[in-house]
Amino acid sequence: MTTNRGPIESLARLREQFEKLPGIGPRSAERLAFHILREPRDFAAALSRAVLDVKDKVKHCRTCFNLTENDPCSICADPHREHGEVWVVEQPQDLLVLEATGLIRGTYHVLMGHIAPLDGIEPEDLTIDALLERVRSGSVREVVLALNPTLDGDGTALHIQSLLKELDVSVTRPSRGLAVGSQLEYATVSMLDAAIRGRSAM
Amino acid sequence: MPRIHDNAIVLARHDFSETSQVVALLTRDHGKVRAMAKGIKRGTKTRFASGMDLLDIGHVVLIRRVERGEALSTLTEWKQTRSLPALRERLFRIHAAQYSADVTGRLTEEGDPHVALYDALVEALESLAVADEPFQIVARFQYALLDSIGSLPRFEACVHCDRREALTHFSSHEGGMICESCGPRQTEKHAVSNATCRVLSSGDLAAPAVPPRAPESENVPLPEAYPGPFRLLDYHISHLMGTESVMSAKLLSYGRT
Repeated sequence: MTTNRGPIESLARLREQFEKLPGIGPRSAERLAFHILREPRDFAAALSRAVLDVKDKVKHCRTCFNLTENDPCSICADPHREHGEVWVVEQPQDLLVLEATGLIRGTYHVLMGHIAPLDGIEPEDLTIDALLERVRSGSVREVVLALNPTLDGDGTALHIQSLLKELDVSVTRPSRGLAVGSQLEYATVSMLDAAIRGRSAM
Repeated sequence: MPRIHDNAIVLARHDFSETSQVVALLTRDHGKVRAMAKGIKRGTKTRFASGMDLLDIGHVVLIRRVERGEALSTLTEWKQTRSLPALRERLFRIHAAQYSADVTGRLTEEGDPHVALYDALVEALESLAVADEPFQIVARFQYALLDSIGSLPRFEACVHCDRREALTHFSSHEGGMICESCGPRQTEKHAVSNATCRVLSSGDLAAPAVPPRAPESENVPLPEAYPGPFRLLDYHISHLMGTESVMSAKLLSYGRT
């Protein structure tokens, strides 16, 4: 069966590809396709090269599973990093957010998701075994479970904590509660609960 | 367009786009509702009071487009009203709560209100948050769920001959207990221990809950009567759903963690 793509087949194909991107609807896809059509050929060549480079060069670091072009990644290969401190995150995006603070001198471990049995995601679908191997190697003294404070994130943290219990390593979690810059009026009951329980002396 | 104000528990949530989610809610007065929560992940929209998590309890405002025959409502406001942080402190509590949400979502119809079921789920979540074993609490909830949807089996006597003694099996297909005399004639059946039979026929699971008290020691063995009723009611629930909940095996694997 053939689909009617209109008079300009190549433009329609480009529009269809853009429509597959998250947050892009038919109108946005059409706008992007026409934008590329208007731009010089060099722009289109650079764009297509960049897309292919991402697919060809970016891979997961074998140690921490962060996205990288070199294995091990620049963080794992950095001798000035505190390799005994491992921050466990769900996604590479979470790593970038933590790294942007400039406060973390340790290394990371990306789980590539969280355990969500109701969505069919089990512990073996994540990189938990590799984390345990890192800890068993003996160089890790603290594992910080910096997972999302959701029910699934908390469940994943408890599962990992139960596995690490047998090993000689300290397991911690970042504190939780009120967001800096927010207003009490708009805080949820959960945020206030955590903030009240975790209050500290001034 | 009718605007609904109600109390609700989040049964499920799935990403729809970068910032929006489709959520399944068990509302107290309007039953199960599926709704589009536009921008809920953005956290800057004060009407959603930043974020909505699985099994959160709160107040919702929904717009139902009944006249268009759409199944998906629009969530316009959400405010969490109850926080149960201790529910997240132990894995079996999370799994028991997820089991309860899963079977509720699968055994209820949209727009079919069950006030008693909503209250039972809130009670189960509150009890689990301080519990040291999940089975008694979840069995009470299973009982309330089956009662609410009109599928509660007969536990006090044999469904075939009305005999009240020697109830050795349970048949989901027949809807209740089977005595040792009628058992051999029944193909679909599940063996039931005396202890389980006693708990289920006593009506204890329907009585008002006694606040659970954590045992002093972590190593107290569970009485056989606790997981037994859970297993049997789960067998019946699985039969009604046509498949087992992924959470039931996880819950049974813990026992005590």
